[in-house]
Amino acid sequence: MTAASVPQATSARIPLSYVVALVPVGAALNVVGGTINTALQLPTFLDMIGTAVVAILLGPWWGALVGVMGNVGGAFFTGPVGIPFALVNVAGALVWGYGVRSFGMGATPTRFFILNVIVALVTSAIAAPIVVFVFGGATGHSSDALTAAFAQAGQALLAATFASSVIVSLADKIISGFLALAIIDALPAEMSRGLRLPGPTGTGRLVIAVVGVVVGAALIAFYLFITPPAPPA
Amino acid sequence: MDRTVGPREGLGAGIIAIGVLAISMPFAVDALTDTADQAAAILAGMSILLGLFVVIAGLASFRIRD
Repeated sequence: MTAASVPQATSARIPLSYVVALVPVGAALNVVGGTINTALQLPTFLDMIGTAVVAILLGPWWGALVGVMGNVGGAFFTGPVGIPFALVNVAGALVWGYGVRSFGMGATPTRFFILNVIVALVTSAIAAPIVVFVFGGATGHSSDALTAAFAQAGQALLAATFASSVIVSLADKIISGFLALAIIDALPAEMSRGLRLPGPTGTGRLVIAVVGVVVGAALIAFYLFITPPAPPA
Repeated sequence: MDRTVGPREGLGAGIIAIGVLAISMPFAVDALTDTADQAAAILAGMSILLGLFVVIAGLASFRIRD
């Protein structure tokens, strides 16, 4: 095989070995992220980092596969609560994948940041009806306190759930998106050839990723500041 | 030579994933809520059947040629 015939990421076709290597790793990353988040009781989800990596590198529908594998596979460890939320993961994969690969939303740090905000809005719009209609408005996540506060302020349950979900998702998707950027930067450059991602490879992109994660962490701090304290047991 | 996959195979994988989700959803909901209703059982059965067809559609998109 000559060098000219080596498949490149720039073409529509990608080597099968990339798919075989990245899809299971992405699903595992989602499960590990979600498990760590649950163990630490963080007001985030962190179960879409692998989805973002694969959706950006391989394509939106491969990302959707990773999302479903992560949530359905994770059900064996954490119970069936996560399975209905696989739809949220699929939606996130489609927005990240098409956003970067078709609409050039990864070209600059600002556009990539906006893409993560769009992901947060879309995923919240899908998650809120699931939380209300499948779980009755509470899933045991730390954002339930914020939902209760919004509902007590007079909002309808669906609107309260959406509002709290947007606040939590905003931080979560910004952190997930920029962590995915750092992971992509750590992978061989051959895999991301042809993709328009923010900053030059190496230290420059890593700095952008760190700044993005810090912004997400600041949003979490803001969330913890506005969340009402839990009532005494 | 390394085999390659294109957008068609990617779309097929995504369709299969959604089919798997449609199949697993009734089991998840059954474990989460107490649904002894006959309508719920019929709906669950239909969801599983729908999921099987969606998985078949995804597999077909791998095989189909223009």
